[in-house]
Parts: sequence; structure tokens; C-alpha cells
Amino acid sequence: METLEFKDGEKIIKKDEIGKYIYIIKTGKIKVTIASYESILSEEGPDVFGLEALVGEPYTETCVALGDVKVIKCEKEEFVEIYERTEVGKEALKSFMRRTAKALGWI
Amino acid sequence: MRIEGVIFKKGEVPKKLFKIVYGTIRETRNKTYHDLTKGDYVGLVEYLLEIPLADDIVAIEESEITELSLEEEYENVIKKIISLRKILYETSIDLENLILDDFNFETADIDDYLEQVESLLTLSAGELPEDKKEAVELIESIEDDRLLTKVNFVKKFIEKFPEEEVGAKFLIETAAKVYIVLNDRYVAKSLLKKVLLTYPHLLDYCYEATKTLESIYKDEGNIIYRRYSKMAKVLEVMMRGNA
Repeated sequence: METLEFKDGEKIIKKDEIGKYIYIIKTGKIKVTIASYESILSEEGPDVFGLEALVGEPYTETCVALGDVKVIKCEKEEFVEIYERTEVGKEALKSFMRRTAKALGWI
Repeated sequence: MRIEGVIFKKGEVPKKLFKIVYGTIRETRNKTYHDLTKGDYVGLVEYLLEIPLADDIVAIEESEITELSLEEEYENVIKKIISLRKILYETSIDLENLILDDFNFETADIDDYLEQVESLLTLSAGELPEDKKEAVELIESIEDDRLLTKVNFVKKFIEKFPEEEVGAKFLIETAAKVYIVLNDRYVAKSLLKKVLLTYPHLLDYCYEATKTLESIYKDEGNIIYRRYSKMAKVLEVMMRGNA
């Protein structure tokens, strides 16, 4: 597990790339794009992205830094052991579902 | 737990996570239903987000569901959400770079299908007149009780007179009748897709075909309707541009 820093406009994950890491936002904001839907994630929550790595699937969204951003990069085992059964894990799943439902126009 | 009828009522916030063991369960959002089957979760969106249901969730046949804990199902739920996103991508359209040829239609081999149907029913449509005017009159004279014959003649008309705009009109009118009278969605959809493939330059007919396709897919609870809904919007913009 390590903390990474990104500058404004830098791509952190890209759709269709094989997901190896899960990311937790430490500070700053991230723009997420799923098809034509866009949303902003932030350290509140804190927000998580890259959950596809937990199930060995390619990423299904593109995440770009909005301003300076710090994220915690986790390997699958680290996320499962430390976060999955906590509020962070639950909120990560909710946020993942919310973005999908909004992109689908369901909510 | 075996169940039939309403599982969750409109306005209710699902408090438990259920997975379908067998059967068919219908969710409705934005007036569009989605049929869930074995392995799907019931009311997953509302359960996870703790929001009220927009409509009843109903088992439309005898079904069995089982209660599970989110902790145990964590990764399976992620897989399910990813599968929803895959559907989203499959049915999305790049509005800025769209050309009709980009559409990857499902295999719609109407000619093979009709030949099979006709051989089964031993229908003999006969030959289409060589004269265009006579051919049009013949097609227009066929009553609704011989719809498959009409479909066959329309197919032949398009092959014989590919430049004639009336072919697009025949396809749309016949598709609507096939859908309403015979309730044959496959043939109706095939005829409408043939409009898009054969007459991509006739925007108004393409618009009408996509709107009808949208409504047929919606009726059958197939999320592919999104593709045609967006396509209709694009065509509408293109038509305004041409006005």
C-alpha cells in the first residue's frame, strides 16, 4: 500500500485497462467518466475507485485528477483485509452502484 | 423462500439482500421494467443506496429467493454492477462521431427467417410484377390476414426496386402491422432494421423506425431500447440540421 500524488488532469485509471489496484482518495477530487456520465469523487466518505481489481475485471470507468490529488493505492489483498468489511468498503460499493445507476438513468 | 406476487412495494426501502434461485422477478424504473432471473439480486440499487423503490418489485412466476449478507456477497455484487456497466457501454452511442454504419445490429437475417416460415406454412406469395406501379398496387391491396405474404412481397420489392423510397414506407407500415396483429417482435424488428440498413439517407423514415424499435424493445423489457432512443435523438438533430 502506498500514497501516490497526481497533478490536475493526470489520468489515474483508464477504462478497459486491467484492474490491478484499488484507490482510496486521501485528499482532493477526482473526475469519473462512465460512458457519457461524469461525476466527482472526493476524500469525503472517503471515496474509492478501481473496485474492478477485486474481481480481476478491467476498469469500467476513467478517473482523472481535478487539481492536486493524493490517493492510497491498495492491492486486492490489502483492500480485502483492511477495508472491505468496514464502512469504507460499504461506502465504496454504494458509490460504485450510485455511479452506475446514474449513468443508466435509473436514479 | 418461495414467492409469487409482490416482493417489495413501491416506496419501500429494501432492508434485506435477496438473490434469485429460480424464477423471474420484475423491477420497474422510469416506466421501464427489467426482468431478473437466476443469480440476479432483487432491488439491488435501492437496497445498497437505501432509497425507496419507484415501483413494486413482483415475482411474475413462482420464484425462489434466498437472503444473503452483503459481506459474503461483496465481490459478487461488484461483478453484478460491472455487468450492468457492460450493458450500459454496449447500448451507448458516441453522439459526436455517429454514423449509421457504426451500429452493430444483432443478426437480423430476415430473408432466411422468412423462407423458413414460408416453407413451414407452405405459403406461396407468387411473383412480384416487373412494373413498379403494379407492384406497389399489389402490395397495397394485400389485407392484414395475409401479412406474411405482404412481408414477403415487401422484401422482394426492396430487392427489385432498391432506389424507391416507398420501400421504406412499406417496411415501416408492415412492421407495425406485424407487431400489432401477429405480435411477432422478431419480424417487426427485422423489418425496421432493414429500413436503417437500406435507407440510411432517408432520415425521417429512419427516425420513425428507431422510435418504433425503441418502443418494441421497451415493451419486452430489453435495455437495448436505450440504443434506439439515443439514435432517434441523433436523427432528430440531423433532421433539424437539414430543415
